Amino acid sequence: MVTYPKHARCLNCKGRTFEEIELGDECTLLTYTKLFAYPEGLELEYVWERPPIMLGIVEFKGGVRAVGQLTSEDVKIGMKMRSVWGWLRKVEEDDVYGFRFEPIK
Amino acid sequence: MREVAIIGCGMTKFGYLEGKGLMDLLTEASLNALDDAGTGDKDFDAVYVSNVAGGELSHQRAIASGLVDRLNLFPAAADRVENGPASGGSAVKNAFLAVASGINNLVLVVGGEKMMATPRARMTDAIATIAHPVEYLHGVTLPALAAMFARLYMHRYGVTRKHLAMVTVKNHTNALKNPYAHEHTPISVESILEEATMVSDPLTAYDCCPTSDGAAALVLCPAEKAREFCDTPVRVAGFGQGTDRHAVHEREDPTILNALRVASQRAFKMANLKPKDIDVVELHDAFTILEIAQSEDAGFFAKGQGHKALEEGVTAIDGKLPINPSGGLNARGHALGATGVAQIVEQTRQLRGDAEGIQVSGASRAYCCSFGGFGNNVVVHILERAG
Repeated sequence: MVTYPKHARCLNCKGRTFEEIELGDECTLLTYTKLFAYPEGLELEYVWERPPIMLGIVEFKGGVRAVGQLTSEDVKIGMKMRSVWGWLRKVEEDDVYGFRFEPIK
Repeated sequence: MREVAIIGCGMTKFGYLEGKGLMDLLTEASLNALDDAGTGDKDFDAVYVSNVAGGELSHQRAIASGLVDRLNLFPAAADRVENGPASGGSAVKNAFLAVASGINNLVLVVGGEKMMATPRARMTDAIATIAHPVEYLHGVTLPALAAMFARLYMHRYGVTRKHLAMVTVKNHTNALKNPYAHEHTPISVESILEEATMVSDPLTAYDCCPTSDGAAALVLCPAEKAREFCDTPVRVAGFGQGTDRHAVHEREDPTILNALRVASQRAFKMANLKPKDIDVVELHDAFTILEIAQSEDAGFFAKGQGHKALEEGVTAIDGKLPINPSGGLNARGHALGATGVAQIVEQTRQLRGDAEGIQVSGASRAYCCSFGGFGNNVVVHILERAG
């Protein structure tokens, strides 16, 4: 069984042996939101009031899902997306980077 | 296992309680409950204090020991219970088990939170740490999870923003007559749809509960001793608790609140009752969509039918199954650690016939859902007027 996030025991068989696999970049948008009231840590430097952030849940082939920021406001449920690397936020003083999702034109 | 009764309850008003700290709120609610129970200077065996973020928001930790000191409840056992937004339900469950097991005879449960003195972005971030790190690190907040849940729900079951607004109007209208409520503002569906500020699309500020200051408390004892204190004891007929995947995206069907399903089934089984036996319900409507979804997964309506029951007035205070006559989290307010206890205070009053202004006539059985995380840990209690 493929899972994200990681668990210490398999959600299916409670086994403890895992291997990491590539999910590929392509996924489908399951649901999304435009978040206006963003939390501390997502402020942008030199921007007094940042624009809202887009967040969504995407589904990869095989059914594994992930949640993350979307690079575009122009999205709809069922849309094909791809993952791209980028800056996400600060936690305390540390920058956090990770995958974001952009629509495939 | 012994039968357990609630013999006293009390709470503070919910809202912006300027000049009162966390310990003041816990003290006020506790003293109200002690006076209501008429326990006088009797010794308590145990105290359970529900609080989520005293350390972060009020700069006070280990507050159960502090409260015992403040109230002179020495040498009672004292524990703080933290289980996210379900802390209140968990604290009541612990008190129930302590009495039911025969180990304790007199137990105080009190929940409280001081939230309004903290700047909003910091509060939003503090609450967002309840989410799984793979959600939190992307900037996901509780309103964002609720908004993604709502959009999927609308897509799948035909719920509209108008239905969400109807939850707000129902609960704000109920709260107008609840003196303890945070919100005392009349509101219409039209004004919400046209004017409300968006928090996380499609949820507006009116779809998201306020964060509140507040506290609530209960006194529990064995049912066989309840009449020594009180003429109208309320029996804890059943409780149930269940858990689910932490990350919302990892649930097989993210629109199903499985922890609630499990908790609800267990509570009904223990109480030997069915959903149709319930007269009044308090759900955890931190977001309007949750009242609709919970009314289904609790077992009151079929999946995808909750918004229709709402539309038909079934869940109105004078309907067949009143939901959140107190105003719910949406309008009574949400003081994190206090909320699950406050729900049971409100329902105790309903069953005693003491819920002035918001009384559901003839209520003899009540249902409370204390909902943690975004549904990954849920505690349900069923209460019954003692015969």
